[in-house]
Amino acid sequence: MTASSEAFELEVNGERHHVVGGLVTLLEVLRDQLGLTGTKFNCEQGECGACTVLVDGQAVVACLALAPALTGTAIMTIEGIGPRSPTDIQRRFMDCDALQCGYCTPGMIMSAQALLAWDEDRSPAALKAALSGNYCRCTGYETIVEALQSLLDREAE
Amino acid sequence: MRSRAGPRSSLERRVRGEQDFLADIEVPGGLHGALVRLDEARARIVSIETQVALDAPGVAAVWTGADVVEFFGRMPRFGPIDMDQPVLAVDTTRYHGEPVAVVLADTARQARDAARRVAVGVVRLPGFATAASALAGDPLHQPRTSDPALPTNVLGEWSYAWGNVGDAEQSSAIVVENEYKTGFAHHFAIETPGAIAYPGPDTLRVLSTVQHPFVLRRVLADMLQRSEASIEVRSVDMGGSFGGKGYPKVGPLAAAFASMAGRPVKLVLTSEEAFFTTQREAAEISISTGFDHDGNITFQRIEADFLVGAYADISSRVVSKSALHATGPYRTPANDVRARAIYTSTPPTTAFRGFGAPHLVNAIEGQFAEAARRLGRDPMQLRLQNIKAKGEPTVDHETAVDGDWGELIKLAAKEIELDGERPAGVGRAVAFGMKSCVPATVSNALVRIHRDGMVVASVGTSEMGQGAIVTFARLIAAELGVEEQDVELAVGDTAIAPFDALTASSRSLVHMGNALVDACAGLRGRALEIVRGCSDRDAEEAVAQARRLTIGSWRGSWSDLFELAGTRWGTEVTSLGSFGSPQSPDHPLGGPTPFFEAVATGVELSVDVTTGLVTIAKLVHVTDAGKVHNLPRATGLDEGGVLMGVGLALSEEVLVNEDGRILNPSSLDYRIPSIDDMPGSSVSRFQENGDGPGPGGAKGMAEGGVLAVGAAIRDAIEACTGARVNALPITPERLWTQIRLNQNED
Repeated sequence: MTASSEAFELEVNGERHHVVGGLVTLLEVLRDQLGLTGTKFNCEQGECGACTVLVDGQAVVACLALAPALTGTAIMTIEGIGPRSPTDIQRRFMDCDALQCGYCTPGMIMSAQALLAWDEDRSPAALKAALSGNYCRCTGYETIVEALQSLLDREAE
Repeated sequence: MRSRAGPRSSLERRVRGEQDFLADIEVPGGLHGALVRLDEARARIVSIETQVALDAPGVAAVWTGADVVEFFGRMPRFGPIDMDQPVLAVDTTRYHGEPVAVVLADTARQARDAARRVAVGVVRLPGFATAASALAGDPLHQPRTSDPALPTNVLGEWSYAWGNVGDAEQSSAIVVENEYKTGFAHHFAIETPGAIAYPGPDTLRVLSTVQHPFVLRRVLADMLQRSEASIEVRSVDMGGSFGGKGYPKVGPLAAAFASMAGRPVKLVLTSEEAFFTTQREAAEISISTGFDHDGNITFQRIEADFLVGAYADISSRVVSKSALHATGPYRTPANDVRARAIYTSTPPTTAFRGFGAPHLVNAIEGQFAEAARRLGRDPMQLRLQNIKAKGEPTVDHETAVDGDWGELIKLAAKEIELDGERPAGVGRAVAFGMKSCVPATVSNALVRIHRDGMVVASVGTSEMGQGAIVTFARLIAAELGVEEQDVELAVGDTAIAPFDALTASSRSLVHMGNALVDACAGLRGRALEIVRGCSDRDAEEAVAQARRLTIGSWRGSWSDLFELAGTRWGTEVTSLGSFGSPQSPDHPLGGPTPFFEAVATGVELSVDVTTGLVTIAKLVHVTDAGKVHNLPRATGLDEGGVLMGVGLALSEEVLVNEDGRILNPSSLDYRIPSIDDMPGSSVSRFQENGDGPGPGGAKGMAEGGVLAVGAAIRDAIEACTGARVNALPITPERLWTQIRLNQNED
């Protein structure tokens, strides 16, 4: 734990970054220092899920994560996902029209990414559990579930 | 920042995190603003101590209302109708969170940290958040800004009446009398509101999360007393809005502060500040409905008090417009509706999906359950007996019924199996909802086609997730005979788009859609001229078909046409299209509605009577869309609208104390539906009779999801528990209490 230090290093999307600021949240580091604005924000209380990123493959809300505590971990943001071409999840989101305004979408996709990488359970209940921390105000979630369930079903085969 | 998008790129940028939302835009050389707000509803400002904040790192300026007045020589005020809202409060605040000072700093963090160090001395003043307490309170605005003939704190009053209600009441077999309430609500777009203002030598340019860039331009011009020609407003694609970002909120503040600073200013609100900034009105409605022995409605008497918050915003339109159609879709020989907009010391309320109609839909639809019980009838049959047929007049000077509304109810009832066998503990109900569209507005569209066949359309329509870019690209591609991916849209920028009234009221597919069709027809007309001059002089029509043009005996692509035209066209042909809906001096709202948005919603649910928790098994929503141009998005808009309606029916309420102080301005305490709140299944269907005024017979849709779901949920809850709660939201506490009261009566 190096929470009191003013400068530290973070690995984000496979690249090492020199970060300053002491007790800053991962959200501030990503958006304000590294310019990775694909990670969105709303509540800054860990409720809405708009800022979800992966830390060592697990979904984490960046607004509640203290950045200095994450030295030595591998952080992945939406910019690090399929950097050259969209991933299967991103394709399914487009094909199923699983977004409207698109503001919650990066966080939603990161949560889905964690589910696909880690969760053996491919049931609809597991899918909903994985996305229960991500608010969407536009879609009613129907198309999001449709997009991901079809992907889970395919992988389960 | 990108200035345009195509149907595919608009999606791909969003799934890849590459879509620039307002907060993502860097402002080199600019200042970041943070507002100082009081944790009081209504207060007198005694002192503001700014020096500590001014000495904080990175801070360039700390300004109070007095500083704003000193710079402008007056307090700049804004609002879409009444210019009543000050950039910063002076002397008193009228609602919880009204800004009293601003800090400008090099970074947003510095500004926020310093804003906490501004010390404001206040004396709390008594506030009011109900109709009764507002009418009995002291005037919120002195000198009064509303008609002095009206009671204290009444912003406006509208009455619509016909027939003889007194006589009708005497001759009615039954009179159903009820009171209905709906609470304050928050739009809760996941993206918070914001704005960036760039003061320039020639123009003031403002980027904002705003649905109506041309309205913001007008308001800024009036507020700053400069020509609209010297102001450019760009609506940056929004992360949801639902009405909350419609009328000017943050843009005027950023513009005023940037004018004072002489440097760009960026202002992005926090989630808590969004609660203080975008709200939906609350309503208290008393309604008496008469029926004769045969079940025909004999009269309606409606008194509706809308609690609209501390400033006028667009409330006079919300109230006058929804009250005009208070009697809903039903034949009503006599009617007396009086609706009032009442100031409360709560955040100014503004447009919200449904624009006031859901309050009245909730009340009107709520009368049928009791009436049916007392008359020994089925509530659905009672609705169908009274609902107007297509072509029947609605209200005076208004558009006649423009769809088969009874059929919507029948479709929803069939899909939810209203007449089917009902297991114990399951409740089912169907309700109808309708709203009119904003009348007498105009849209213009500029469409340019280039020599390689690429098309760019510039429209004032803003994109907030409704799918304007995808839907318009599809429409244009079909009209011009090009591929969808060859069409790009530049949306929401007054600097490049011709005038468009607003992106609201589900109007854009009809108004802007028709303007685009008109512009494309203009381009085909130009193509016809060229072919007549150069190839087939007898050609009569240019037909776009299967991604080709057929003009008389000539066939080819737009690139071929440019070759044919040579220097007459140069490298680009441009066309301006236009569409306006009619004005009428006799109509109380300025013109007849271009169309009605009509829906029926069915619900199947169960209730845990030990906790009052409602579980929704199935939702069915049927919309009269006229003609659907983008089925996936139209379906998604209705699914999202219905789930928003579920939130408003069961959990969402901005709670205030008696002074109007908000008790739950956070996502922890104001619960919008999560994925766990999805219904077991959801069905969205469209009626497509091609009878609307838009392209292909389209009508507007997308607000409709929220109209009737609350009324359907309320009736379904009563059907399975016997408990009736006429106040929305029907929270577990309210329902549990009513269930207990009923048990005690038994």
